[in-house]
Formats: sequence, C-alpha cells, structure tokens
Amino acid sequence: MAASHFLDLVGEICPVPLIIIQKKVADIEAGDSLLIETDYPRAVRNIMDWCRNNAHLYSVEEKGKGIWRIILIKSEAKPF
Amino acid sequence: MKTLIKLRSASFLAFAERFILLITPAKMGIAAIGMLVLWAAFQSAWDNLVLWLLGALLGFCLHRARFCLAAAFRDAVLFRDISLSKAMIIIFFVSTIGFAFIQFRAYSLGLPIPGNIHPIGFHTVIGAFIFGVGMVLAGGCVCSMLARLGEGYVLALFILLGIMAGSLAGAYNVGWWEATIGSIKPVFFPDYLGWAGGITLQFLALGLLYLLCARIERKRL
Amino acid sequence: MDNQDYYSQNSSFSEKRWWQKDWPYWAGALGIALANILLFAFSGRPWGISSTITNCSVKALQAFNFQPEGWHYFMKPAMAAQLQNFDLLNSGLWVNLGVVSGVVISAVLMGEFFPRKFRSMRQILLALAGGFLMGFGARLAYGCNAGALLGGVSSMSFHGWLFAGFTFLGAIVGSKLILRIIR
Repeated sequence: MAASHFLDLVGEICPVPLIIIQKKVADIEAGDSLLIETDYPRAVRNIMDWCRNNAHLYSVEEKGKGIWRIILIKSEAKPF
Repeated sequence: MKTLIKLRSASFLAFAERFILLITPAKMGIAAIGMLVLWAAFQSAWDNLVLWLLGALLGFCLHRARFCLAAAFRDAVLFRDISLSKAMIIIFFVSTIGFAFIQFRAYSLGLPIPGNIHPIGFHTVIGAFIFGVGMVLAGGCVCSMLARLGEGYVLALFILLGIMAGSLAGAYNVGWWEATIGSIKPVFFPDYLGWAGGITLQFLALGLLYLLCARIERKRL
Repeated sequence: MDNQDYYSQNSSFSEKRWWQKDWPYWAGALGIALANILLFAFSGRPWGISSTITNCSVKALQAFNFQPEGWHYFMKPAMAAQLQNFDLLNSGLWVNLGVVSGVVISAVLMGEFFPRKFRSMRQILLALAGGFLMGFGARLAYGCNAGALLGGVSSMSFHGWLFAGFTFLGAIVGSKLILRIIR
C-alpha cells in the first residue's frame, strides 16, 4: 500500500519523533497516509498512544534490525 | 600440491569468517556480564551480588515496559500524554506502602529512620528546576540514560559525561547555597502528623496528582 | 486496520515469543516499585544514581590529583563516609551496574542490543548540555529522579514532593526550548 507521505526518523531520540510527526500530520489532509520509520522503541509506544488519543488509524510493523514501520492514516476527527 | 594449499587456506578463511560472525555485540554483552558476576562470586561478595540482582530486576522492568520518568513529565506537557505519569503514580503508591513498613519497623525498634530524607531550601527548588530543563534537553532522565547505555546508544555516553561534569560543579556549588541562603531541616510527614496522618497525607497528595494528570489530559489546565 | 489495543495493532507482536514481548506500563511500574522496596529493605538506602556518579567522578578527579574532599558537599558526615567507604565494591555502583546489565539482558532477549550511532552534532551537544544540567541540578537538590523523586516521595519526605513540582516546571521550560531548537 503506497503511502502519500514518508518520514524517516531513524536515529532521532525522544521527544523529536512525535514532535515532527505532529507537525506533519497537521499539514496533511484527512485521509492521507503517512509512512514513518523509526528505530527508537519508546517513540513507537508514544506514537501509538498519541494516535489512539486522536483517533488516527495506525498499524505497526517491525522491519527487522530494530527498525519499526508505522503507517498512519489521518482521521477526520477534531484536530489536536 | 598447489591446489591442496589453495583448498586448505580457503576452508580456513571460511572457518575464520564464520567464527568472527559468531561474536555479535549481543554475545559480547552477555559475556561481559557473566565475567562480572563470576568475579564477584570469586570475591565472595554475595551482598554485592544481591544488589546487582535487584538492580538487574530494575533494569529489566525499565527496558521491557519502555519506561522513562522524564517522559512522565515531558510527554504530559508536550503531547498531553499521561500514560507514563499514571504509571509513575503507581510506583509512588506501591513504594510508599513498602517504604512505610520498613521505616515504621526501624522507628519502633528505636533505630534512626532510613530513607531519602534531605534538607530543603532554595537550592532544592532551583536544583529541581534545572534538572527538569536538563532532562528534556538530554532526551531522558538519569535512569533512561542507563537504559540507553544498555541498549547500545553511544549518545548515552555523552549524557553520562555531562552528568559527571555537572555533578562535580554542583557539589562544588551547593556549599555556597547552604551558606548564604541556608536551608531548613528535613520535613518527614510522620514527624508532624504521626504515622497514620503522614501516610494519609501522602495518599491524598497522590490522589491530587492523579487528578492533575486527568485535567492535563482534558486540556483544562 | 482499526484502532484496537496495542497488541493487536503490532503485526509482528504476535510472532514474538513470550520472553520477547513488551510489557504494559503498569507491569513495569509494579516491577520497579517492588525492586526498589527490596533494595531499600536489603541495603537501607533507596535506589540512587546521581550520588554514585558523583562519587565515581570524584574518584576520577582524585586519580588526577585534584582534591575535592575539601568541598562543602563532602564535609557532611554522610557524604564523607560515602567517599571513605568507596571502593570497587561500592553498593551504589553495584546496583547501577546491575541496572545496565538488566537492560542489556532484556535488550538481547528482544534482539535490540546493537551499537547505535548518532545522527548529528546537535544531538551530542544537547546530550552534553542536558547531562550537565541534570548533574548540576541533582547535586543542588540532593538527588536525581531516582533518588529524590522516587526515593524522596516514597520516603514521605517533603523534599521529594518539592522536587516533583519544580521538575515539572523545569520540564515545561525545557519543552519550549526543545520545540524552538527542533524548528
């Protein structure tokens, strides 16, 4: 499934990943998908909790070698 | 004859390659830990082994649950994410009960009360504030730094270096604070309210803390 | 693809063995609290990191022939005794070595232990600056987050609560700084 946007956050440590993702999600349209790659395990949890709080859809996949891939679909709910 | 030598060296190279690939960083880490434990056992330092074991339990839980005390504060501010803050309150709650047992036992035996009970002054307030700024800039608190070390982050060594330098500067400086501004003696809740009162106050405060977290989440702070 | 809980959203999670899985926050919290209580019962002192690092730094300085024992901080009997009794088998050092070892073991079991390089010079500068502030603040407040926050609050000492409150204020300022640095 091709994503409309891509963020490479490998090597960034907390709290940088979610800050960048927040900015990006504010910019994209509702219904767009965003592919995120990160290798910081805590950031993955952080992102998942944030997505749940804001009703964005997401799926997580571990790509091996410690890199996680998160696909996020922005929902039409109230913006955060 | 030539082909025989070629075959022998080729197989030796293959063997050496496989051997080197076996020595992954993970195995080096485990080997280092094993040697440390064996050395301690050799010195009959059983006390230290128990300390090490309890520390290992701490570290294991820290890493497994992806815990970070800095995130308990920082994520509440930046992202209104209080899941870690609530977990921190759980730690406070359970620890208070356990610590209170130990402290009361010492008190009833007439021994001095154990625990981290330190004097209070402007230095406490300023030190805590500076610590808060530092932990957000560094990306984690002191225990997270240990966890990053354990995961192999080279960056954690730099944080450690900074902490070492800062500790020395702080130890040098705290004398000035206490001499010029002074500090009041430690405040231990049961000293002022009795044991039942002190523990009640502690639980009330934890409850207030939880309400504060809930308000932060609902954006009404 | 819908929003169920953490475990069902992580497609590779179900493939992991039981000793490789993440724990929820509350489980880690209980484990940390339990370990801290046992530590306190066994050694008489709660978990503390910055005091250990301070003592190690002082020993390093002494190796280079500086003399920090005269500083005010080490004139206090408890702190001077810590320095006196410091040897390689210092208790705080063993606990914190254990903490790192525990993390290594957990990371190896999950396959997450490998050297990770940093991404930019900015990260290093932030790490050094943040670490310096943390060390400095920890000495001023007589403890870091493990000692003053966890240990102080659990010991029902008011200095722990003060530490918690003002660390929160500091985190607010730090967050504003980070947002400005990240751009």
